[in-house]
Amino acid sequence: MAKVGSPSEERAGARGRVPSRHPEEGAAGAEGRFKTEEMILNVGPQHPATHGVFRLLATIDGEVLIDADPVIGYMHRGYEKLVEQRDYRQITNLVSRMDWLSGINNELPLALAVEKLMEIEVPPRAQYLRVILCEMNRILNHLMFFASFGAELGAITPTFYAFREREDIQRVMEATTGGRMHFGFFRPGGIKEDVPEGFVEGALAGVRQVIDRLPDYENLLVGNEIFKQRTIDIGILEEEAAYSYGVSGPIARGSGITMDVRKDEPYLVYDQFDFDVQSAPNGDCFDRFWVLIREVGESARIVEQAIEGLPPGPIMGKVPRVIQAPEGEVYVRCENPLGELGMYLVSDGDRRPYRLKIRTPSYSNVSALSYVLKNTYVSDMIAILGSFFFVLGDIDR
Amino acid sequence: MAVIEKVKLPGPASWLLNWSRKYSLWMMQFGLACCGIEMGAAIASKFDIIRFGVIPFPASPRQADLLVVAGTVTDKMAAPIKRVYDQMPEPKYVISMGSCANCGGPYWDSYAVTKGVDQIIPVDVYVPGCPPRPEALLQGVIRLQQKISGENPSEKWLGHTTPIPVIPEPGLAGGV
Amino acid sequence: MAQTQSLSRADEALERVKSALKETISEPKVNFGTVDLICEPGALVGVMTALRDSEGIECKFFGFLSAVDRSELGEGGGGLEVLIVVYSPVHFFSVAVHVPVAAAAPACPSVSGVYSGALWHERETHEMFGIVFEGHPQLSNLYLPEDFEGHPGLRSFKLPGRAVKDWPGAKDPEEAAAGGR
Repeated sequence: MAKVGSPSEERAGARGRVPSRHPEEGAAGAEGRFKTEEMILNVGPQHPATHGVFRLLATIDGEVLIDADPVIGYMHRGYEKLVEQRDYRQITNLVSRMDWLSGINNELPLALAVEKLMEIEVPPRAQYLRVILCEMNRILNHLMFFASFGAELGAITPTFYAFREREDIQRVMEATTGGRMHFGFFRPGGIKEDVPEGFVEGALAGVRQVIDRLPDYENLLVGNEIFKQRTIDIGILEEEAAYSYGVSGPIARGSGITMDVRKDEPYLVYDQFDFDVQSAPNGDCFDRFWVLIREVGESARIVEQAIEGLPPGPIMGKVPRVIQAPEGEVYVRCENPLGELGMYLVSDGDRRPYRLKIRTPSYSNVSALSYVLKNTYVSDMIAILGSFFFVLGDIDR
Repeated sequence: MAVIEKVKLPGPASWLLNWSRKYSLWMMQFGLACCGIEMGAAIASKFDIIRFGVIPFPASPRQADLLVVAGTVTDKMAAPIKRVYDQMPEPKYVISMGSCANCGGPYWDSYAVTKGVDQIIPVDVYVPGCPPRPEALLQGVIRLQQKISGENPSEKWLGHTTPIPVIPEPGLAGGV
Repeated sequence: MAQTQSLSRADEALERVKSALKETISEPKVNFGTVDLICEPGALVGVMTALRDSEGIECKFFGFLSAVDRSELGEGGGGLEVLIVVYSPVHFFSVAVHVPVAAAAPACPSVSGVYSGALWHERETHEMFGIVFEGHPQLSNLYLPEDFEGHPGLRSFKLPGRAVKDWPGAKDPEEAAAGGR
């Protein structure tokens, strides 16, 4: 069902290097080695490579990380409590700020959950526009990680390239929604307003530019020998472990998993578009990045198709004046740029949710970090951290 | 240093000092949340904060003049922010970027968020917005530069005249 | 189209789940495309293992583990329950497992041996709801400082900001202008 690509061509050119994982028995004071002592290295919470305030307590022995314990909570704002005090319109704007790189994707599961409980039919034009905006946001998000991963490995150039492209797409998003990052655009029943004049041209120009320049970007890092040396066979996450930790999104798909909610349980109108689920088999930093950068192209393809098929019509379904979800429970999963975003909504018939459990992708993804970092080298730590593409607000909520 | 603290500088010397300081602000980015991304955009190609004489990416807070607190400050994060601020040498300035850093913003009723970074460190310029556009941050920088140009360097070198509030203990915003 | 497809998928899955788990679960049903079931704490580890390993189910993907405090829900209300959602990447359906726990001294066996991802989720649930997960290797706070008092997830925990100013009660602007807020 899902078509699987392979980064084997790019990987082929890489020279062999020292093993990425230290043999476990040799970690401490084996015969014929230097006698080393364990020590604790504190990384963060304010560290440029951690995209925010992430702290890692690393126990190291010589060059080997024997234990890594992520310490989170520096950005914990108590979302699940705050949403119980706000009505659905307000929550839309709140969840938008949860994962600040993919604002509009965060709003989607909430809108879908309320629509399911209230049995609201969403008009096709709104569904198409939702898809377009979500995928454009995915491109923005992935370009950001393209920028940051390069910067973390010492290549600052990708940052400037990626930000240039981001600005072009962001301008279209801003003209449509009024926000650069936090959009507050999806409402239960549809979207806030129809797109402005010039949206179609702007969006097409934006994504075509990305499609045109993508090979260059890919070459810039994926074709770079230093980049390969620092990422191939580093930080391996096996398929089974990825499932068990609940790792999803491009990070899981870098481990040979082809799980993608857009394909498996299509929501909106994703089943009408032709796109591939990118996946790579090796589970190392290189493959995770390779999947991420390939997904930009897939998203651009979806945007192109959706704009082509964009139907006319209303953008808002029949919704009552006051959004009041009837009693019930529903679990909605969506494919966020970083993985599976799920919202479990328990409603008691009020304008506020009784309980809204938010399952954020980065949280589950990062919980696998201590497993992946075990017995790797200190010098690879930042590469592994960077390849997990997390957003702190998404972890801590 | 010592001379500046002791004597009253003649007007032109003050002007020259202030003028040179305001266009060479090394900016310590404290990107905490969404605003951190907009701060990044302000640094990157299109908005280019270096035009205004603000130099990003200092090697350490000990080499920085300006601290930009961009994003939500939580009670758990308050102590590290205070530490970074304390590590910066005088004279130093703080820009609070975004509603969260200003007053708690959309998390005004949260049990874990510090309502305003000015409870922890003194703030010179507040930039409103959620998040502020990069232009807003640039405007904040210009306002800061205006402030610097009117300063008396000897007072500034002595550090803050008003005492810095004691950092709140973690867990202050707990349940009732 | 896609919706109906996933619904029939869930119905088939429900039958397989029923036949695999038999008496260990109660009230299995399909709720908006998700297989929903209730399981007692004592049988939880067995049920989760069966959900992960049984042929035809294979819920290998760990969704989340959390809790719902139903004490203020509806007339009769309810107690505290642990909620686990897992997903089958092979057969494309989710299973939501509800585990009622005692409100007085809430405790539940840890499923971190079955799903490694539960390690963090259980720590979070422990600090937010005060549920003790027996067998968890390190049940320390994840988000909040260790000296934080109370469990914010519980309904009885009131936000300090809201204690002063309650949630605005007016539904419409007119209503607010007329008197409320």
